This record gives sequence, C-alpha cells and structure tokens, in this order.
Amino acid sequence: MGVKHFGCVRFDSDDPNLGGWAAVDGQAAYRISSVGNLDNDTLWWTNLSFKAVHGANLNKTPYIKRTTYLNSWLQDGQVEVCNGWGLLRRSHTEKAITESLSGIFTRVMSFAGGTYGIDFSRSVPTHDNLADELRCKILPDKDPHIGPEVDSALWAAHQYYTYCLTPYANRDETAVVRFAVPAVAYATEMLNAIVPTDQVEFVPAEKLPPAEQRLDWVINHPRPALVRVTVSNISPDYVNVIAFANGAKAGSNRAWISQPELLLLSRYAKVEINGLFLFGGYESLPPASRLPSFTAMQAMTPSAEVIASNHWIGLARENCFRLEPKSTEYRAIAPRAAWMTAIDRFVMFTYALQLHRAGIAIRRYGAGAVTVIVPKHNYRDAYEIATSIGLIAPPGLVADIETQDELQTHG
Amino acid sequence: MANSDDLLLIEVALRDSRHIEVIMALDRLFLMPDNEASLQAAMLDLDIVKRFINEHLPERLRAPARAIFVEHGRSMGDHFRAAQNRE
Repeated sequence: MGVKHFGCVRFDSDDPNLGGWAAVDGQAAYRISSVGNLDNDTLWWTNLSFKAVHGANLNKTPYIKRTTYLNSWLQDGQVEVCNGWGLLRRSHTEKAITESLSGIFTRVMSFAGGTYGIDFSRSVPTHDNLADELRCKILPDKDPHIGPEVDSALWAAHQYYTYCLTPYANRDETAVVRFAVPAVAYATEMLNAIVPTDQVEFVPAEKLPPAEQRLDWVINHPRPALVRVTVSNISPDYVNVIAFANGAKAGSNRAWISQPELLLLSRYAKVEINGLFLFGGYESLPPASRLPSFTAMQAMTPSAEVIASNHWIGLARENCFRLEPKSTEYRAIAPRAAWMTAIDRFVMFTYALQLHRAGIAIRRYGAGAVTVIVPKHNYRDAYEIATSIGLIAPPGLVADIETQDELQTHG
Repeated sequence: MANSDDLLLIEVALRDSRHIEVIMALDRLFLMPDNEASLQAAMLDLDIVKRFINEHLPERLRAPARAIFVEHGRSMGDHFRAAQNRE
C-alpha cells in the first residue's frame, strides 16, 4: 500500500520525539506532540536532519522523509525553500510556514505522480530524495560501468560544487547568501546540453601532438575528451574563484577533467595534458529527459523550481543507491553526469567571476547558484550586482535592504 | 511574449516575503484545473495575481506580466476543456 496524502511537519527542534506543527495537503496546520502522531497514509516531509532521523532510527520508516527530500543538493532542506521564497520566521508564524510548505509539497508530488508516472497509491516512494525518484522514472536503467580506468577518471572529474578560497570572514559580521538563476530556464538549458556517448578509447601522451599544441588540439577536437592534466600557476586574480580541486571527491586530486572545465582552466592557468580518453562522439540527452513544459507563469512558482531542479540534477549524479545497491567500491558515473556538472560549474563560474570582480567574496558555486559572503549590514551592493547579472536574490534580502537603508538614512 | 530580462524582473519583484499570499496563489496555479471546483479555485487565485500585477509591479513590467498572465489563462482553459472531454 502506498500513501494517500502529502504532509509537511516542522518539529520545534531537530528531534522527532519533540512536538511540532503538521499540515496535510496544504490544509490548516495542527500541533503534534511527537512523530508518533503522524499517520502512515501520508508521506511526511519533515524538517529533520540526517543525524536526527538516523539517531532516532527513523530511517526505516519509509513514509517519513528528511528535510532535504526536495533539495538534496543543499544542506538545509526546508530552510533553503523558506529562504528562497520568503517564508521567514520573523515575518510568518510556524503554523503559516507549515501550511505553505505542505501546499508546495502536495503540488510537487501530485505533479510528479501525474507527469513522471510515480504511483504513490501503490507504494511509498523508496528513495530518500526526489531527484533520485525522478531520475529512476526518466532513465529507469542504471548507468553502466564502462571500465575501471574510465570509471575512475569519470569519478575524479565529477564534482557538484566548486568551493572557493575565501578571505577570513567574521561570522558575526557577515551573512551567507545564495543567489540562483531562474530554475526552469536553467534546467532547460542544462537538458539541452550535448554529452559524450559511452564508447571510449585511451590516447596515451606519446600519441598526442607535441606538448605546446596539445591544448588547442584537444579543445578543438570534434569528439569529447576526458583529459588527465597537471594544473599549476593559476592566475592570482582568479585563483580564489577557480579554486581548482577544492570540492573534489575524497582520494582524488582532480587529475581528470572534462572539456568544458579544460576550456575554463586553460584561460586562467597553466595546464599540461598527460593523456586522455576520447569518447565516440556527442549526443543529445534522450527524449525522455526533456523537461515538462511550463507556462511562463508556472515557471515562476516554488513547485516548478523544485521539479525543474530535481529533474536535471537527478540526471547529473552517479547511480543512486536503489539502482546500484551492491556496489563494492563506488557507483557508476555516466559521462553524461560528469559533463552536466562541468557545464553547470562553468556557467556558474561566469556569474561568480562577475561578483568576484565587483569585490564580493564567493563561497561556492554550482547547481544553478552562487553562494556569497556579504557584510551583515550592507546587502544592497551584492543584491544590486547579482540581480543586474541575472541572478535571483532571496526575498528576505529586499526587506532587509529597505530596513538598512531606512536606519542609515535616519542615522 | 515577455523577454527573459522582463521575466527575471517580474520574478524578482514577485519574490518578496511581503507578497507571500501572491506566491502561494501562483503556486496553486501550478497545477492545472481538471474539474469545476478546481477551476473556480484557480479563478480566485488568478484574481490575486492580477491584482498584484496591477497594484505592485512597476509600470514598465505590467504589459509583459499581463502577457504571461493571459498565456497561462489560455493554457488553463485548454487543459480544463481537454479534461472535460476525457470524462
């Protein structure tokens, strides 16, 4: 048996044994005294962290989902949705926030059920995040392992975020703000990307053109290449933003990079190519990967943002646990996933660079957003620059800027 | 149809914590109506959005906002009629 309803629950603190507010299908919220009050006919999106869910052994209850269920690429789950849409505790009550999130969750899941063919009445969603749920409906087969060497190179090249090197920032005087691109348009762009096919051959260094010609040869090659590189002498003006290999997977020094990343690095650093895998050619993503169509008005909604982001990010990952549960070392990463994350970081780098040039400290970029560090009492500069280059600011910032301006004028 | 710059500015104007009832009305419009009751509810939400466009958006953005409003209204009508024909 599956679930009949979708609900949101916000515990008063990160502990399922304490009370909180709960709301089902966007209806009026009500108080609960603990997780025991939640019915099993409803899929519950909680504000509980991984630690709280596992600490209470609640991870074995399939109808209870963690805070990051709708945005697993961010750390703060429900808080991020609230920040993104102005559902702030200082402006709205917990009851109102719970009702709003419950409405959004209900619409997202109803849309996912109807459009992607997820039958919630038959079984409870098995994955711990929506991106994996959608990925398994869009591409039901797992990505194959190509070969140990290629797999390992793809594993090293695959990176979600670039974590920038930042100057010391006093936490009491600064705030971390996430600026994002409009999600639906960006997802469409990402899904229009061309990615490598699975056929691949290794080209050792001795079969490559002379060292001084290699870079141009690879960049202009009509076939996609995964390149083994040595990177050094990154331009001091950009080293903080490029932050090569910061954010790489444990055990990897990012010696392998894809063509989009090579294109970027070659402009700002010394890059020596020591060998490469040449893929058979480029291909578009299969038609099943296409984003559902939205009207321009639908595209401006929280639900569309959640669906569009989960759709493309689900395709840019390694095989999820349910597709490859018995992997001995690591799960397969398709060339598609390595390329999509590289293109995403490339595009986000262009935004990060503009903010960096304006003197704003960048914390990280990737997954359609740039996270920056701004002085707590002067948001205006960052806000104006970010919106002028096409990024969307968290809505709370507008009210904060008006308050700050008012106070400064009064002073 | 509105260009991408206008769409961004409309979205920026909309994403203001003081307009949460408009954001929620828009979000309810995310699901297209299939029956009479959901159509009536959608009409009320459209009214909230229309009021926001007329009263809160800067003059320059009103025409592109109205265009996307009309596009959504048409799409909603088409979806509703198709759902009725299926029944």
